[in-house]
Amino acid sequence: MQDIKLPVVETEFRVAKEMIAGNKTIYTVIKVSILKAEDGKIMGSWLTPLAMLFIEPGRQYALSITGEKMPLEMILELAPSLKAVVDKARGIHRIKVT
Amino acid sequence: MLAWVEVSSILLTALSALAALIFVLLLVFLLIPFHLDLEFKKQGLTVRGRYRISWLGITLKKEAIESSPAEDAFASMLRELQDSESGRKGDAQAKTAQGVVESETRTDKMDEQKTKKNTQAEDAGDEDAEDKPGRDHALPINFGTLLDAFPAIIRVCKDLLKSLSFRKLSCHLCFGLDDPVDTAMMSGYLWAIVSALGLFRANVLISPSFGGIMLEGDFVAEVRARMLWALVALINSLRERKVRTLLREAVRS
Repeated sequence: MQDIKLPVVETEFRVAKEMIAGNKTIYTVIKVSILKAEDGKIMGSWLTPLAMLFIEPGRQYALSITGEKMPLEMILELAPSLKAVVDKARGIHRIKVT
Repeated sequence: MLAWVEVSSILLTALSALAALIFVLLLVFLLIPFHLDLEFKKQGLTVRGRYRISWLGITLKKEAIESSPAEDAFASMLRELQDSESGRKGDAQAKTAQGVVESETRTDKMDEQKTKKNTQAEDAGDEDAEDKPGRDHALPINFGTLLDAFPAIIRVCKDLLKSLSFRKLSCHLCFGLDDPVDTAMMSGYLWAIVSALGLFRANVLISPSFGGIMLEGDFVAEVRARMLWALVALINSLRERKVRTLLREAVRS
């Protein structure tokens, strides 16, 4: 009898493209779940938003999607690629003194 | 007089034979299908492909395509778009951030910008207008006419598709956009198109990659096209007044 193998779900955390509202830049951390067949073929995928990072001139803070405040370190731990984004955003908001 | 009648009858027979021959050739051309073999493969930065058009076992056109590995058109195009967008956003953000501090000097700068813009517009004329993002690109045809003719165009496309028969179709595509959300949405659209075209039985595999901008895959197709149905579709389309209006507008522009 042939063995029946269940599909595998792979999970990765990604950062969506930034959204700009006034002087706020919002980054959404997304959990990407990919359903893979035994031979590696992708059968489906679904995205779940987890948290949002707000960057304003002078301050940064993160909120979980349920509305609770969460430390910035925790969100950076979830998605390490967000660090570069944060640094870049900080650079944009830096006030140039001439 | 008798000789002249004989000559004219021979000439008439020859002409009718020629007409019959042309008719038979046209019928053969319309009934015997053309074969189109397509094969494209993109792996990393290299794009390889070949196509062959044949008819009655005779190769009419054959070419192999290989792009230079230094250029990746898709990725570079997306990156350019992304850079231009982020540049614009960055400028806007920087302006808002600086706006609080430099509120007093802002009015002076705006005045300077205005005067600069005026001088540039005078100097460059149309060049300045091209740089504007929200610029209206003039369409060669009227949008209303296009909309009117849209159902007819769909019918023509359906008829044209009838003239094609896929002997072999295989498409493996792995793609990624700069945003995972866009990637997921695009994969949804592609799967919907595959399903709408009834290609789900074919060897079509679309895999989204959420890691970043990428495009890899291969496409193999063997298509047979019978010109008769294509000609019928074209004649049917020309019978539609809306299509004729659209074509007339396109030719005029």
